[in-house]
Amino acid sequence: MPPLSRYMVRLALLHLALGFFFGGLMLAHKAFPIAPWAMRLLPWHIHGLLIGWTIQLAFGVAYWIFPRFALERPGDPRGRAGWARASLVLLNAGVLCAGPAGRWAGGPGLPSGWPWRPWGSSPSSSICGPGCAPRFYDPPGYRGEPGSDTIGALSAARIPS
Amino acid sequence: MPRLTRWFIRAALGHLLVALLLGALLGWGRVISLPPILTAATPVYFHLLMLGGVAQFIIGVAWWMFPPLSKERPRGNEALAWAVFFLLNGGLILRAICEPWVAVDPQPIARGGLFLSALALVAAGWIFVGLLWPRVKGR
Repeated sequence: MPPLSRYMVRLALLHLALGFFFGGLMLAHKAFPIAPWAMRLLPWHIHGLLIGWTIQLAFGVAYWIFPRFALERPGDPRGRAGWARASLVLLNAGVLCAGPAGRWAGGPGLPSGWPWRPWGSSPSSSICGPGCAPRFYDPPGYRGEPGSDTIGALSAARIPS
Repeated sequence: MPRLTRWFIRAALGHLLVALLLGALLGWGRVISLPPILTAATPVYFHLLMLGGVAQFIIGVAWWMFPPLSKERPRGNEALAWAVFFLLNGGLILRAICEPWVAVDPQPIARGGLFLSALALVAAGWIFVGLLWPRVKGR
């Protein structure tokens, strides 16, 4: 396994360990609402596991295993290493930024309230109480609306901040 | 292919099938009104698909294909790897039952089951990372 693949796979494993930990914290909070701040880890959980773990592992293994340039580039069998190194740095920087970006920018690519809409609109929303399980893709001040069952209704119910 | 990998892949395919069925059912929720316990299963759908299906498939193949640890124990501690299999699948099944249950009727037993599933899943992930880490090497 070339060094660059080793770095990618090890970083992917770190993202896996951290992503599982964040997911476990959020799940434990759903069971016993003891750590409202844990739900702020959702953007990191999603990006860390989807991109930091799954995609980065695929990058690392592909760089290691895919057919090499045996004849065309004898001194550079895996192509230009600089681009591969850049992808490692950029991918991990992107995942690290995804958490704050998801929190501050209103959730790129995810609909408002996702994926807590069914949870928030269910009769059990009282187990967390107002403000205890915030929807992290909603603006500050938004508290949802009881009985709002669609994303459209959620958007209409937003309180201007 | 080692026996454990076969089981990981079989379980992954099983989770994938259940996730796709649940996803189809949740998709119908845009047309017909579904019971609250089913709409509360949206996170379960995502996790069955991505964790039970995709991640478990990767874990099984990585356990099989990654560079060997040594000649005597090429894949490391197999008992711990079986523990990963049971913790991951047990945790996911427990979560699939308890998460929608807590959402519609937060009984203490459902909450306890959900908390237990969180512990099982985190333990599975960390043990797997510990097993694979020493096998990420040059030769």
